[in-house]
Amino acid sequence: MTRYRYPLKSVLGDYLRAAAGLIIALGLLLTGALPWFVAVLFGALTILFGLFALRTVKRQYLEVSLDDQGIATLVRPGDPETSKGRFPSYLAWQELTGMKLRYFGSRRSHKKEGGSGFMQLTLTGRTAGPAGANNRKTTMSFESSLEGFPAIVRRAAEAARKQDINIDATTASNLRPLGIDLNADAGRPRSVSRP
Amino acid sequence: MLGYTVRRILTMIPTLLAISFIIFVIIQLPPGDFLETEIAEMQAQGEAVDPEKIEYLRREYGLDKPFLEQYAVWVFGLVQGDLGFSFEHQLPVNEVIGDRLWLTFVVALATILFTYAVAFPIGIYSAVRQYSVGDYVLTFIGFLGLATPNFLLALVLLYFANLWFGTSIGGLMDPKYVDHPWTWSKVSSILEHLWIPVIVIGTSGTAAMIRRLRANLLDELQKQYVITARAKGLSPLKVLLKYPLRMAINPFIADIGNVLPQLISGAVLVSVVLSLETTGPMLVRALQSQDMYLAGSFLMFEASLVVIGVFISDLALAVLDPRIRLAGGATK
Repeated sequence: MTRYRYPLKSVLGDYLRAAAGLIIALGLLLTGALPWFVAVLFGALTILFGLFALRTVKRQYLEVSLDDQGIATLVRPGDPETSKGRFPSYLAWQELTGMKLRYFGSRRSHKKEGGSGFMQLTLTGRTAGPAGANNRKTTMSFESSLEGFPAIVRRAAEAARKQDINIDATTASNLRPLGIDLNADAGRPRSVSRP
Repeated sequence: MLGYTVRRILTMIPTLLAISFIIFVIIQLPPGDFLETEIAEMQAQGEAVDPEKIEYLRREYGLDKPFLEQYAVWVFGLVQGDLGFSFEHQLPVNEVIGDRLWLTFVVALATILFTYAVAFPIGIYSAVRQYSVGDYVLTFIGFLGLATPNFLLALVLLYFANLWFGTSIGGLMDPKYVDHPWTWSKVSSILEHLWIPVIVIGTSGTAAMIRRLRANLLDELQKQYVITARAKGLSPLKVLLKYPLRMAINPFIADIGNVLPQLISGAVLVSVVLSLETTGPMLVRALQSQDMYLAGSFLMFEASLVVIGVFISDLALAVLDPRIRLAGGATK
């Protein structure tokens, strides 16, 4: 089993973003009597940056475990050896029902290799609930700043092909730069060379 | 999406700050200031000018302060909804512009909706039924729309709206509602008058959009994946809507950032002809008289629309087409 985490550098960047947004939005909100539309605008921005800060905290302690049977996530604050962890989630590869790989970036980064954009992998599947209960839907989402992101994508793509899951054209297109071609006949996804 | 949205918002802040600084520099670039323009006009009319009064007014308006201090006060006021003081009208800018910003926004939004609502079905029909009688007729109407000057169409529509529907000439509402508080009858009066500027401003944009959508969609419809989808037995409507149309409208979504301010600044002539209570004519007057805070507020409004438009188009593109492209701009 291989374990991955978001590197401190990327988490630190997100903390700085959240702090900058909160200081500006909340700071202006607290400056005094604002017209209602300005207050609503900065209120909404404060909530947005607050949510982003919470997500960043969760991401700092997120631990992703990957093996041949499936993928698991756990929020584990503190020492990884002693801490029990919270919010465990598990998805067996044979229960995978959907896979999406999206690229987010400005128009400039869309046209430039190595631009400021990033990729996001979303996996959906069914996880067995408690005895007698129906299977519940599990969704996991990872960004390309996660250590071992290409390995996770590769493993998920392999599982998607084995499960004969429909992969949309956008995902197939985004897989190719990672060297994964879903149209390969069989076996492991084969690499494609860049032009 | 949350991470992407946050990153995009954070890039908007320095962008807007840089724009505000450039605007402030530009509106201060002409020699002198509003008071000097006033003094010159008074002296030209043979009126005596009291230097002490001028100095008093200069202090009162904050024109004696350093440039950066004036800028800081203006920007901090802007983010708090205080747009400054209009020298010419002797009123806060908020009161001078009154409902103009909102009405401008309403006209622009209604025009965009009108343009999209008319252009999309016609553009799709023209592409799917290429070289049919309907395609030729709609193309002809489109070219007419492109060729007709907006101000001419405005005058014609004003005449017929008054003749057939009894709509008062010019303006965005009946004169009795101007400067009155908002009521349902005022809103209905605006709706009654709104269709004329919307058609006038929107017609040329509609015609251009029909041509571009038709060309983009024709390109997409000839690609191999469409032929494959048809061969696999997908319904024609699904084949059309699922991929080719999404690809064909990408350039329009990427263009939202330019459309909003173009509609507002490009409609100045129409606003003058139709006597619309929008920002265009007032901006022209404010720039002529060096009414810096009034002009600056309008320019900042337009610049904000560009930045917000680009933000919206980036979010829409991220939803519609989240693909990575390799070097050279080709989609892989």
